[in-house]
Amino acid sequence: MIRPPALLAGLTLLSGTCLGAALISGSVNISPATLWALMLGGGDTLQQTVFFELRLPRALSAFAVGGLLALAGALMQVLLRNPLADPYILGVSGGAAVATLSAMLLGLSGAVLSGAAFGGALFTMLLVFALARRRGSWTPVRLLLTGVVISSGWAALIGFILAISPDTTLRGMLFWLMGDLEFAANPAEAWGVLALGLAVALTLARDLNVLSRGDLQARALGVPVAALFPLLYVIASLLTAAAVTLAGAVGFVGLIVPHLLRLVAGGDHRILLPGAVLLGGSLLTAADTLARTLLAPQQLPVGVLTALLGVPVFLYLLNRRGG
Amino acid sequence: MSVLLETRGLSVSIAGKTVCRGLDLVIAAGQRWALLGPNGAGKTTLLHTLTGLRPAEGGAILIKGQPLATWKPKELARVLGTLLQNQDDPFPSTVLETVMIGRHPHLGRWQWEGEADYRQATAALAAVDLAGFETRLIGTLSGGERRRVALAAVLCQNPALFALDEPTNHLDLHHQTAVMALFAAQTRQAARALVMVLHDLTAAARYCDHVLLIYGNGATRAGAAAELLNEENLQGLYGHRLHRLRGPDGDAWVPAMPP
Repeated sequence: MIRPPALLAGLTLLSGTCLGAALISGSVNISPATLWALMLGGGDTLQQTVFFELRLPRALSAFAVGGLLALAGALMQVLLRNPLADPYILGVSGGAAVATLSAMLLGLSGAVLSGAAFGGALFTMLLVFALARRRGSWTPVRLLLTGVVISSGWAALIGFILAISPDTTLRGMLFWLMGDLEFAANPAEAWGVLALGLAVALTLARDLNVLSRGDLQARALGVPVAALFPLLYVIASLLTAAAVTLAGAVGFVGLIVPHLLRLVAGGDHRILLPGAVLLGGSLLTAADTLARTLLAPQQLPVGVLTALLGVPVFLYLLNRRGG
Repeated sequence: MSVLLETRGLSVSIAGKTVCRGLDLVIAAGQRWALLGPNGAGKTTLLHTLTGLRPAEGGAILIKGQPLATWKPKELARVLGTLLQNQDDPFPSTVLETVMIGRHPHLGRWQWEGEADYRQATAALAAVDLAGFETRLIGTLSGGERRRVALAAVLCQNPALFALDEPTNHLDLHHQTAVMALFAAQTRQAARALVMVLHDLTAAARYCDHVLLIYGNGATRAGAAAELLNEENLQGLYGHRLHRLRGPDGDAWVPAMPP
């Protein structure tokens, strides 16, 4: 186990490095020295445009989305008491996808797509919530089953939309489904949701330590589970909604990052939650930098890279610790 | 002697089956109670009801004279320490982290575990013969060791009333005896009491001064262990003939061979 202060310091350093690398990588050359000048208001016009209108918003978007997904995943795993849970397991991304792809099919673009994604995500959150708690109190298993079934329903609709879509829109749809930051221009809202979500989650962190050992155990130790459960669900869903609204359904980050931290740093959510935000943000920022530079000018969907980067790292840690 | 738990006319049922009807029970500091009965009689259900983990059907439960429902959950958890029948560990975590959750009700929302909490946790681990296991991952422990970690967590929760559901599950005979002696000593020292679900009649006879017999049809009998633990009562309770063997450390109860 790594000591918590060292872990968080290391992850902060990693975050800075990934953001810095994202800002200096690309077809227009911006050296680390120019980077500093740009932040102080210098640099030439081309560099300023590229930096402030393209790279900075994109890097910040990537970091926010990664942080949102990792935090949502950590919360969802405790909520469902299932280490295999990810932010999308209850259908939030499926609902967002159906709404977004439908809008794309109708030829809409720009802000409408973000609105559709957020609307679809919220609709799913309320639908699963209502169905899961219809008969009084809800249990993790009932919530999980409801979410998984709704999720499958969305998957069928996604398949249907893809099947009837003209070839010209298919590429955009596939990129959205794999997660893509090409159109993520304004990360302000996502950062707001991330900051708020992390702040609320941190007030619950020690309750989560207890809740991760089961409902009854948590109640026996004085954790108000009946109130905590819906709160967790809503926070995790909103974090996920904010992420998919900005970048589509980026996979893998939300499942693996919290898990990876549990392997390295133990199960204390006071460390795990901020750690997940930093590591998730770093991973997605690094992945996105590669996604837009590896085959430049061809851009890859970032979701492809998160998995390609994350899978070997995760397998290494899993085997090193013996599961 | 101060009363820690009292029930008045308590009725409990589960899935249409009555566990107890009109139960009046008084558990005072210094007492050790065994809940005895056959499988499915409702021992765990009753224990969960007494500790507020599930609602009663009727009657009242008072903890230190105050109705159970009016306790704030966290304050209740400082008075009442529950050991569940099974533990669930879906996530990796260390032994120390697991024991430390017993300190949860004693800490404020923003408070971190301090030196004193660590001392209590390590002392609790030592008390269940797990000193030096602090950094081990729970997943690498045996069933009996895992059980003792859970017992250590309840110990460092430091409640006035221990409610233990089959505390000796998975333990070898040395640790069964050690754990029973440990909790018996805990209730002798301070103003504490113990109520536990047991299947081991010898342990009940040795370490408990009171028993509650739960028949599974709504009938219950509560009283002093010396009075209620006899061949006739136990045979009626379990539907099985028992031999009482007089030994140097008190009576031992052995089930008879089926005819």
